[in-house]
Amino acid sequence: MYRYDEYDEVIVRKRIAEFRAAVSRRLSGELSEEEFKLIRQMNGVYLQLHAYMLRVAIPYGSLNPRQMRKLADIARRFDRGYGHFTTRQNIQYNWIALADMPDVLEALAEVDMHAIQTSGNLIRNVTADPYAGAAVDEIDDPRPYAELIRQWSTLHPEFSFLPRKFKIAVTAAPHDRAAVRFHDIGLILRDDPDLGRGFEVIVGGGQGRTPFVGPTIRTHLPEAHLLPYLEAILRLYNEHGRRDNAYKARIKILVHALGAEEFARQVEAEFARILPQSDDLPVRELARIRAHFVTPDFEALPATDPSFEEARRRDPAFARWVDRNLAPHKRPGYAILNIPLKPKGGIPGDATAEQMETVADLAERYGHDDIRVTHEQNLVLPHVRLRDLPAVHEALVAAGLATANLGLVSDIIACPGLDYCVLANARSIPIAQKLSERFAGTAREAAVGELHIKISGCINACGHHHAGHIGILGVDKKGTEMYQLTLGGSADESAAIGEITGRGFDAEGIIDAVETVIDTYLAHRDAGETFLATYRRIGAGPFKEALYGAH
Amino acid sequence: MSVVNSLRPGPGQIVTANEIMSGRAVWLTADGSWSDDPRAAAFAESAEDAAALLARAQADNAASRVELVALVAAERDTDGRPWPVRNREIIRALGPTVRPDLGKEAAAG
Repeated sequence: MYRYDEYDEVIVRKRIAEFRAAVSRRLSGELSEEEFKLIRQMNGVYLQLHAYMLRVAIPYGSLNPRQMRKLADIARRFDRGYGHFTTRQNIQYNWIALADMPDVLEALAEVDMHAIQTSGNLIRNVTADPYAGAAVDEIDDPRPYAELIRQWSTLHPEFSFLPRKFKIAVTAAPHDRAAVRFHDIGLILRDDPDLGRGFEVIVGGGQGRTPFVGPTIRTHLPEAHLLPYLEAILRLYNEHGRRDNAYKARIKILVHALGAEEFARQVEAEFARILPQSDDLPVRELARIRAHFVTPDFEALPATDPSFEEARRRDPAFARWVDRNLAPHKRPGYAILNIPLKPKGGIPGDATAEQMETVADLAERYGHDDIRVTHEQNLVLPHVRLRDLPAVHEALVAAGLATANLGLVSDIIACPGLDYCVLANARSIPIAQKLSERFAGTAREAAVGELHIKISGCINACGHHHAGHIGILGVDKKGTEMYQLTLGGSADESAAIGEITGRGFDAEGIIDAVETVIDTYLAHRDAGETFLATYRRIGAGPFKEALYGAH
Repeated sequence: MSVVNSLRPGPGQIVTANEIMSGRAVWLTADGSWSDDPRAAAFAESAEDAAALLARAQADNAASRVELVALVAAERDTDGRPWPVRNREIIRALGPTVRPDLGKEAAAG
């Protein structure tokens, strides 16, 4: 895992000192609300409905146990005992007093963490495949590239005041677990038989009020050219992205306005201009960064383990949990363990300080000190020996973290919504809770299988509703919370934007509407067919008919 | 809790903000102090009264006591005390509906 060097350390400490001074100047009245707002946002501090919110960066969703324990400690000492893992692989605290903020940032700095670039119109935390370094299907660990981009983009002088925020995601596997087609820039690392290793470069994906699946503007970019190419894209966007209208300021609007081909042509022209000036620093730097991502000291193990198989036979709850929450690991005798933060009726993404500590302990004891946060608001222990899984399961059960529902109906993404957020128009979490209460742990949920429900409380779409197999968007209709339903979205390599079914539903009606959609799917599916496959085969018609009656 | 659903303009307005240190939602009272309870708020029934309340609140904003000052629609409850009209403001008054254990009512014991 990457460790700060002395330069990072100095930068972070200086930023905290500056922020501490800014807080005291705001409290003494020297800084106005508007002046201070710019400063606090540069340090991840928002003012929400009930209190200040601090968003902490978790670069590419990767944490070590020491960091996780610190997050727990902060939740306990400065917040109200919990934190919220987000769809950007970050964590947010909901109740931190302004006067405590600098101390919280100091506490984070003790474990190489910070809140820089978690807000504002600049390059945000770089996200990546949460199975990085463990996935069977990856060609390499994408995190060194994500770290290279993080270092390049941190306090980048040219790109600190972009037209709008900017999000980059990286994967090195054909199965997309990082939603790369819904980012400002998405990168897929591939080995080409003729051209060698390189990135497919996707630009202008995104959600919000104008959702786009990002188009590919380069099918093969040699890895050594990554930074100059990103620079060319960012320069074009910085110059030509709209600054007159915040709703039209994201790069997706520019790409769409120019057309992907013309946008690509202009990027290539700028890239060709700057490439001769760039040295091989990124390549050397990449080698240095890579040295931090050492492969864990894996044991040579057989593919199966007798005690693991015995526990599976003996304990149905363990077997269900294994079947649902495990993913294959690249090494025999190991597994990738998902820990859904989606207990029945719970708040998606919330974890208590105690739960964070449990995960930290397990990562230390059984997981090669490695923890990941997913954009689906779950946690992952990427390297667990099969033979340790019964003990891990037992500890997770005790901590209330053993829900066997990864990818099922009750594994719902939801934004904080109107329960916390100043931008929201309707609540999201209660809808997730009601759906979870109805489906979690039922035979019906198991029968339905893979189905991703995603809920946003406003059109900014932090809950990724556009990319949900079933998406739910909360709106305010003359003072009443109403919910629009979309179907057929997808966040992975089959990326698609869901289509609105028709008129919305009230808070009770939307739960029944989801049930109707699920009934319709079950009635129409072919053997072994997922919800998404059925929807793509039969189209929206039968679902609309079931929801609204035949017309 | 009554997080339902009306956008009637309300017969009056109250002034709300977030207290600068904690960020918690507060309401301006008749004596110029800030209360955690909208039922203690000064209730403006005329545009002039509302403007006067807002001006007082903005002075407190300038003096770094509160942030995000806003006039919001309110009505009177059955005891004649002010209560906000919009869902968003009701949730600000009560705390997150999904964590009643952390809400204002809980904090008040």
